[in-house]
Amino acid sequence: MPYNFKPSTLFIGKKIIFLPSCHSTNDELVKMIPETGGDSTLEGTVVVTDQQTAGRGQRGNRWEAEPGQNLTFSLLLKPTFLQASAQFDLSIAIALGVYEALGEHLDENQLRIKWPNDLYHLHPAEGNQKLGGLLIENTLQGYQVSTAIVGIGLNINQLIFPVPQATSLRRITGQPFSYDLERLLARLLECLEAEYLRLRQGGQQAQKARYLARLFRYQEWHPYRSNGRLFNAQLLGVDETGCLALETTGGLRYFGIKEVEFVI
Amino acid sequence: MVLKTLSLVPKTRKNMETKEIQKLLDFIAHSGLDEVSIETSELKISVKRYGGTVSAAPVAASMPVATAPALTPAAVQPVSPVASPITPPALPSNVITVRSPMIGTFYRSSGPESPLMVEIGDEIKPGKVLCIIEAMKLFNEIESEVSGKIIKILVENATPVEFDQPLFLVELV
Repeated sequence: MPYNFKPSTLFIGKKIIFLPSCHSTNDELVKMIPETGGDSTLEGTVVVTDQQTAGRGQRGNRWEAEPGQNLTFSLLLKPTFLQASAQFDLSIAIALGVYEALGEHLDENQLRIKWPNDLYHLHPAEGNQKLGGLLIENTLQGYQVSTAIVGIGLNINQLIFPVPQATSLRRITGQPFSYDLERLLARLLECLEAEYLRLRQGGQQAQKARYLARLFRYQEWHPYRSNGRLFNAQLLGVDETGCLALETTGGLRYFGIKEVEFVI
Repeated sequence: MVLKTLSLVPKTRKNMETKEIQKLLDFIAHSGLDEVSIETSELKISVKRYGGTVSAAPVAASMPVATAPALTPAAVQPVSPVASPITPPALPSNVITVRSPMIGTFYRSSGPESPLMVEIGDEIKPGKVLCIIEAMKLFNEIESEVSGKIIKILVENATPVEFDQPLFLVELV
């Protein structure tokens, strides 16, 4: 797909590079940034592919998608206003942008952000299934973020998955024909830009409140696993570094990403 | 890039209000400029990003604006590295410490099969990626801001690091 459709944005997606196939759109975008500073690469540049052969999730986890069926893209941002220690705010803004775009097609009561930044669909019969996720790679200079490569993978038209925990937009809605990936990408970029500008204008408190309101299992008691031990806890929120706050029977505890597992 | 004048400061005003200074700093914080110097008849202010100086000095002695530095918003506040107990006490003046700008997990390569980004003895230049710090599925490449030689790596691969924790010692060239 050539991706000639232009989003109505100020800067995100003004330049869209389509690659029929590539290892990872994040890596392709990194290659386009010159080593010396990177100012010549346009903020908002998007790399999109029909087939990502070595997509990544959390360090080491692979993310596979059927060619031409889904949206796999990366976006270059230069959030130089952001302190390195406050970068979870960017993760929140991006997750909200994706949520808003998908929310136009889905029942928002069934669409949830799973901490830290996956998109989940709460299926009444099939349970909770992953719709997509994102992965952000930053470059830091001193204590500031200089560039952020935002990689987003969303299952859109794929109908059959090798694992029961995955789903797609079309699978959920049952739409008889395929979604137009170009149009969907344009809408995603518009929503992402709107959230990014909100963040840039200092709107992170309101964004965090919206993130929590859309967070999977927020203020509910569910099982979790940490260090091989199974326990029940109530999800109370996230701290400023993005750690998950769980109220356990032993009190309030904070967990990093590798320290806790959702038992779903 | 240097700004010489700014329209939001009326020339007829005797003093620059603290609110205006705040507004100005916000503007600079969001402008993407690395360095800004502004000079009016009452005030001289220069702001530098990336751990540089933030200072505001009154030109005319009768109109002090001594409170200005305290109003600096977080985005342009210089990060003053507080001496931490793990810092080696006496470093030669040509050796600098590269510290972690965030809490996370320290990695010396971009993946389990990838080569190490730097080793002891490597010559580095500004922009050279020294390591990755991962937190909450956010991957951060830490770039060198100086030219020099790595003389010590203070953290083991794949171990947690704290904010401001020393990571590398670099001998400046």
